[in-house]
Amino acid sequence: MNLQALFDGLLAFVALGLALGAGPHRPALRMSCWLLAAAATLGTLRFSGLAPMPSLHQFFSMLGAGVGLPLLAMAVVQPDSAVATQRRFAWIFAIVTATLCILLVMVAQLKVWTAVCALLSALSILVLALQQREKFAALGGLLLLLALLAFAAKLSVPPLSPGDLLHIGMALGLLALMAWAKGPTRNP
Amino acid sequence: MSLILYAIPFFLGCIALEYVISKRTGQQVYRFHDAVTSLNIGFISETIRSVLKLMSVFVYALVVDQVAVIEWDLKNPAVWVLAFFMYDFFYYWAHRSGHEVNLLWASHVVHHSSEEYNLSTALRQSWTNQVYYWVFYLPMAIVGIPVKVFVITALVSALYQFWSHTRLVGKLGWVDRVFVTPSNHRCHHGRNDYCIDKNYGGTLIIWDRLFGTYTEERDAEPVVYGTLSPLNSWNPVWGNFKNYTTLWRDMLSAKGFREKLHVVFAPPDQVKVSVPETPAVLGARRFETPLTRWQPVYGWLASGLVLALVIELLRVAPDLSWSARTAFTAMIVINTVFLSRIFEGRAGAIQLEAARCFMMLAPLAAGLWFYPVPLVVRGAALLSLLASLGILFLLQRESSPSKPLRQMDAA
Repeated sequence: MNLQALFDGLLAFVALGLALGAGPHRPALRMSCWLLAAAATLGTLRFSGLAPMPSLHQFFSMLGAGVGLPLLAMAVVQPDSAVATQRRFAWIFAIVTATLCILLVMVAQLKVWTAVCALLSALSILVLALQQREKFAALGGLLLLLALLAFAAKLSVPPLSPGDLLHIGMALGLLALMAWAKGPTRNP
Repeated sequence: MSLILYAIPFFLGCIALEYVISKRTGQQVYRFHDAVTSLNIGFISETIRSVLKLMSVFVYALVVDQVAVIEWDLKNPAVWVLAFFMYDFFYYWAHRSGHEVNLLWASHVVHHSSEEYNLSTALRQSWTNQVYYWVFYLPMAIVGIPVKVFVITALVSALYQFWSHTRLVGKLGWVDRVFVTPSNHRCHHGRNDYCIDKNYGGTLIIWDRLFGTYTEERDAEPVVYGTLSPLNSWNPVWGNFKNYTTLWRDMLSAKGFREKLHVVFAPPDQVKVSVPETPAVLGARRFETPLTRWQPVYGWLASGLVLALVIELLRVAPDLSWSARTAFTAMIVINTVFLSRIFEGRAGAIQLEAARCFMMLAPLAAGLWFYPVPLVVRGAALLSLLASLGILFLLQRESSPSKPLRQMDAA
């Protein structure tokens, strides 16, 4: 088991925990966590050598960044919106953003799209959580943003690769969001 | 292309057979204006959808190429079985979205706009649904279902769905509860309360039973066909775009970004409409306009020309530039719009149609077309022009210009 597989596994574990912990009244949160967990699980399988499916891992990573994180942002920033609270609208949001992702990244080769989606999602979580004084959500947004920026800058702290830092930062960010989700005001 | 060419005679043959059987058994299944409108919408949809289908198959192939988990052998029967079930499952959700998401309903509604139910209704397909529906089948590409298997599965599903659009086949017992059949699909096309948003399946009805959208046809409540907001027109363009205009109006009148988005994605019955329409009730009159003596003759001649042009366009399309292709398609569409104006008894419709015939068929007869045309086609165009002008003259003589639109009681 190498470090990449280990930290992908950690992210999968945390995302799965948040997906299972979020009640049915938060479909967007659940869906985004399932997507991130799927991408991270495929990463674990890939880097551990158990069942390497690199193309599928890349595809789900793309969806994680281009669909999962925007869904997460909707769930945190607009917790009372139709997308955050109704399964139907969460699905519509996911299908529309996934279609955009496929058309822009795979067909038009505009690979920067997923990075922009991910960064804007993290930034919106941070800014709006600060405005609403939701400290755990703000911490989650900050950790996600730092992790994404570090990955974009290809920052590494040996023996941790940029990918490892991204996965650690995202796992910590999701843990903070888990604490936010369990908070009294967000748990009807 | 060749598949469509083979399918058209088959579909038309079945429609003719259904018409003959209905006449012999004394059932009124067809109305002339409705059937011609359905056929014209269907013919044109083939030309538009052929382009959109190519695009969607391109994206599908790209996803298979870049993401596919498994590389399937075409000789492996498992891939065909898996493809069949996956396609039918995703068809169910695509179709259900087509009814329950306002934007997609705006596209799909044309298929339900006929107030009759017969095999020609099966051909009354939306010109725009291919823009959206391909997205629903991408999970099949991720699983690695090869393009060839996907295309053949889609074709088989489309062919299967054709036969369910008939009133001549009654209930079929247990088959109605497993497969999509005429009985359960009749409910899908009904505007009775118990029929709304039911029976979305393509080949198997089990998805409806699984997801709670199944209903059985009730002998005590005969199905009344059509939509709650009737089209009330024979115009194929209006049929395809009426609900888009309504959607646009409702979006403009909605306050705030969130409400505008709600108008686009909410179920059609949950959208606050800007201009409320009186919903059609079960006993409502069907849209009907007077059928004069020469209208059927001209209708069949004009529709035959539309079909010939569509087949020709599909044949030469790969060699045409996009602008020529668009112009060719536009000419066919205008042909059907002008025909619908005659059916609706609009003032000046016959004169306009005569001018259109002359402007389209005269250049063709003179050989001034998008590409060189053989002498036999030029001769046929000349004959068609003369025949069209002759019948239009007879139509003009028999029609009184002040004859208004009227509605007749439902049968």
